[in-house]
Amino acid sequence: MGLSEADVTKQIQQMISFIQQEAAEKVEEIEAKAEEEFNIEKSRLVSQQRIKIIEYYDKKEKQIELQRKIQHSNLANASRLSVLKARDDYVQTLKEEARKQLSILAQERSKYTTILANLIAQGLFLLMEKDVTIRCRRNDVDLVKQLVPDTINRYKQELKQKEIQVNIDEKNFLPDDSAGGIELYAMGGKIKVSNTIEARLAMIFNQILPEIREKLFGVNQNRKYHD
Amino acid sequence: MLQSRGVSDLLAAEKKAQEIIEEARKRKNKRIKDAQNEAKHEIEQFKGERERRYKGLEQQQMGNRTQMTEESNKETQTQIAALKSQYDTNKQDLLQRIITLVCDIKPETHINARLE
Repeated sequence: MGLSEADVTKQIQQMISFIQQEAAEKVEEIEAKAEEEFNIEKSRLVSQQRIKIIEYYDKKEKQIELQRKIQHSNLANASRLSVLKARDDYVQTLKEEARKQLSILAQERSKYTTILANLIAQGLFLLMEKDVTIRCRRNDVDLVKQLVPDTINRYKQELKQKEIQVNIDEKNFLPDDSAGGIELYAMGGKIKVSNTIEARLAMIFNQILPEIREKLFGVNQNRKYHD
Repeated sequence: MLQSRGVSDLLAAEKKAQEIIEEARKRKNKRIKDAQNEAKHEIEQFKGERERRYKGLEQQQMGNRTQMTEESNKETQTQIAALKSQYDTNKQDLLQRIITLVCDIKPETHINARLE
């Protein structure tokens, strides 16, 4: 019985206070920890998902850019092709124009006569065969018959009397709508020289294509070598 | 009697203490669970922003697309029109040249032809 009632009460009060204080401190500790873990967990989840989202949208945005570049490239190509096609069309038109004008030329008797004579001579010189057949348009047969003798003389003169026989094909003819000229055959038709106006046009047109292109389209800026 | 009252008071205090600590723990667990919901909310918001941004770019690109096509076509037409004027200017000269060349026939003997 050393302690008085008052002392006991006091001590008990103190102990109760202590218990309450401890509890309060523990609660504070728990709440602090709770906040901390809340933040950590939230941060973790957010940043984890953020990375995925950023990756996803970055890729999609790159796709848009890619599409834009592809479209640009396609447009440039299509444009280039259109222009090239147009150029080619003009070249072909020119060739057709030339053919038409040459057809008309065939109607000018004097000019056409000279041309035909030269074509026959050229053909004979090329072939250098003993037996030659000439095929021409139906309407040109008479003219060709007229020109052959002189041509043969010329041939014999230049080649110093080489024997030659020239026939005119009266069974097969060049089409009536062709621009004129002749075809020469030798060795029973095995050797053929195509000296028609169309054939000459094709040959010459191809040979001067570079000149045509330059006149129509200008000098090519991309060309490096000119010799 | 005094002692039992004192002890029961202590026991009561102890019990109360346990209760509030237990409640604190429960609140803590709830808080941590809340983290998931709040995180989800924030992420949705972020995603929404990026989606808006992306859609904006997509729209812009659509607009550009039509514009690009129009410009390209216009440019092409200009170039093709230029071709026509070039053709018309040079046509006659070129035709003249072609016809001259076609009609200029030089029958020649072959340089290797043997002459008896």
